Amino acid sequence: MDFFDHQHRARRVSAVLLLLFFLVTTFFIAVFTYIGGMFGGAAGAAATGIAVLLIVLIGSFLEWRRLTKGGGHAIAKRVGAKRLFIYKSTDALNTGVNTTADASDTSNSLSRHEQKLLHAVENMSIASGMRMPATFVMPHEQGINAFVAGFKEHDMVLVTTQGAIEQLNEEELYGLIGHEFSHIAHGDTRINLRLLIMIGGLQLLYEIASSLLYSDDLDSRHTGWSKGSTLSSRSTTSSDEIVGVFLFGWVILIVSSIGVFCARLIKYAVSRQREFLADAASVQYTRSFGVLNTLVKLRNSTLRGSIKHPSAESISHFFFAKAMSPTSWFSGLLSTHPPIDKRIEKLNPALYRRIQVQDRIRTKAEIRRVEQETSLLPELQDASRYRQPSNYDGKPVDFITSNFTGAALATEYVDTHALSEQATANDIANQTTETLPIRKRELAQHYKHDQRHTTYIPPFIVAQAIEEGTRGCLSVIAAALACHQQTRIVPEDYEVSRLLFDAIKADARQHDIWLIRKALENKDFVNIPPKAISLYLQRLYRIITIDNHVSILEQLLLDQISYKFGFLTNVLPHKEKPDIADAFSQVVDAVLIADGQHPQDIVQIKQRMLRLAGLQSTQDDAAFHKAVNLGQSLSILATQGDAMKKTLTDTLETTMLANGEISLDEQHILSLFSWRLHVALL
Amino acid sequence: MVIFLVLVLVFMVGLFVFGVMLFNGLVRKRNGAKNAFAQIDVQLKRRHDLIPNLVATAEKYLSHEKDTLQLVTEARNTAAKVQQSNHHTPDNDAHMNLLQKVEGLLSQAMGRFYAVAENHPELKADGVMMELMDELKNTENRIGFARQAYNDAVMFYNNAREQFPSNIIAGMFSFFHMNMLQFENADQLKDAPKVSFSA
Repeated sequence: MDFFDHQHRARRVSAVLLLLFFLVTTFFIAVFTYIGGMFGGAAGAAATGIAVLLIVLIGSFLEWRRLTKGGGHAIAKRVGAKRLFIYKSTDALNTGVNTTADASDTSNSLSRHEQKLLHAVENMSIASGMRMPATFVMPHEQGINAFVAGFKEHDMVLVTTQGAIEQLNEEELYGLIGHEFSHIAHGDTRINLRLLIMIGGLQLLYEIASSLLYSDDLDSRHTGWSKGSTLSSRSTTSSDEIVGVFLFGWVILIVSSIGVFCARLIKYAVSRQREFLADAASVQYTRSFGVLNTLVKLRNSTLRGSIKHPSAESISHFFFAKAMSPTSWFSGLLSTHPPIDKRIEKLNPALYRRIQVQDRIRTKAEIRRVEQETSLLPELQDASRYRQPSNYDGKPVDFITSNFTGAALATEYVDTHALSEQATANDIANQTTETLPIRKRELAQHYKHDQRHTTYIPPFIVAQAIEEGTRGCLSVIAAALACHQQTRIVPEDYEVSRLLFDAIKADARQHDIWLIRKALENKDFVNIPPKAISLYLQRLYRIITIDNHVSILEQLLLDQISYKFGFLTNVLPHKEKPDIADAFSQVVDAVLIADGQHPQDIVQIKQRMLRLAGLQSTQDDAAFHKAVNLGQSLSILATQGDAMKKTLTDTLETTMLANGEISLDEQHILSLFSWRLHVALL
Repeated sequence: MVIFLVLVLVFMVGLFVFGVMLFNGLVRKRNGAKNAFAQIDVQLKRRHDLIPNLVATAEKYLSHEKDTLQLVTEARNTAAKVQQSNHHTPDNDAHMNLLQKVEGLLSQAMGRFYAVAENHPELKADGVMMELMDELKNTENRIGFARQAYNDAVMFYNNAREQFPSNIIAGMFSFFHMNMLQFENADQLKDAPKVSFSA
């Protein structure tokens, strides 16, 4: 591939588009002037032209102020990225004075992956002849993505996700960084800024026109009575004038909205061309097809380039790959990035064709599997052969409402079945899904009372599978867990039934945890041979770790499933004395992450909660998390005394109030947590 | 007649402005290439500075491999001398050839050193040694990228210098041809084993 030629072409196309953008803007200003002329002659034309030009300029200025505020570093901070510093710049040169202890110090402060990233950034800055940008990592993102931001050379930042530096090999990482350096070298952030500013100008025109139309001012004039003394003089204007202003406002509104729309279309087209340019430039800088491999890896990864951080959407145009997924051809026009397939095809058409063929083979295999599956379960397909309850009234069987007693009973439950010391553990284990107990009355108003579960009717096929017995329940659990991952997965790869997966996925997502717990109520799981159970648990673990992250809810569910098979044991870490404070701190951490708290807040809340539970954290956070996993932490907590367990559960409930309410997921976590602490192991 | 004169004047001014733009473009590209060359220099210097430390550290372990160390030191000294010479500019053909040659030889000496180090686990166990070798390999990577950036810049410059119409301006103001750098030259690799510095 001739990457110089590719760059040349991409540059030419974006130059044409930029010219077009400029023409569109001037054209619309000219249209306004013409309309002004229609209404008020030459003077009107001049007045409108000047007014429109002024408004566009003011709008641009305001947009410029808004966008450049803070610059690159502020954006990096906003997405919660962590800065990497180069500690060793010259120390290797004077190793005469440097001791080996120092050397090991520097390697400790940065992880192996982070060092790899810094090397890549240094080398790419040399290859592209640009100054090295400040390098950041988003530690909580597992998708593969990166972006550059900043408008001045000294303010440039380069941010990658943790997933990118962990999952990409050296060549692919160079490709990714090379791509980002092209954005720096070709000033794409500045081009983007300019386009956004011009759109901002047209946008202001639109806003003024719409406020002119919908304001009280016009209303009062139109209806003929004034609201304030300042308007009283105007209220006498003739009806001709009112119609004129009305018409004029509408024309401006329509024309400016068309203008903004066209400008947006062109801006997105430019943005897509710059991505092609950056891919080609990455090949130039690295002199390898690293970026192609990155794209292929991205295409095959389950998370793709997804970014979970809430601020990600506002800066989506910066990213290496789309952070959000497209939905239709129309959103393709309005998208900042070309599709990954298209990018691969541009870089290497032969490889793209090969990938397509592989896709087709895979799809065929998938279809065969689904066909096999459907032939195995004919009764699930044929609704007329369903075993129907006697009171069946044409609607799918509603077995869930019969078990779920709702919020009213939940309050009563506090008194009768409270998770106090006298309630036996197995009692709790069997009661968990039926009600979500409210532990403290004073917190009751924070519980999110959602009627979804009470009125919820699962898809027919799922209900039937749960009724069917062990095999059906196991399939439902696996399928619901897969749906819970919220990532693009191919169910067949994880031996998950496609029928159930699609049925649960098509349904509202909120019920998947509920379905798992419903399926777990099946009594005769013990009939399965241990070998099969162990394989099944491994499969579930594989599903849970699709997103490279085990959340507290997933860990608790896995524990409960293992418990049902008699596989759950308290696995304590190989340490002389398991530290309860650290174990609890990790659980709180996991809950707060699930709560969507900001990393900085997490540390503070965690300290407060530990104090509340009367614990003192002894170890450094980072060192601890490497040593013990969530499952082990839960085991440590489960081996404590009853009074301690109660304190811990109460504290966890308080922790969940961090965002002001206890959501359904959190209620699940809470009830599973208290179950986990109180359950008697075999 | 007046119109004709005005037209000619406008044409001349246009031509002049166009010429200035071409000239400026050439200057920009030439300076870009020179800057890229300076970047290689920085990395080469870093490599030359690291090698004596490496040799000093390795001497403790490699008393019976004196030849290799000697070879590295000599190659490094020659390369450093060439780099510091007065003719060190990218448009000096003879000097660029020499630079390619000595740096190629240094790379080869280093290659032999790495091969020797592979056979001495105690050498690789030394913390300082490990760090130095990492740093040196990293620097060699950077030299590679810097050379690539330089070669790209030279290509753009030479393209502008030789293409019409900027070649006219280039000829008028003597924009000299620049040379690309290739350290890992194929025929140099063939020559190398014959060279002996200990003689």
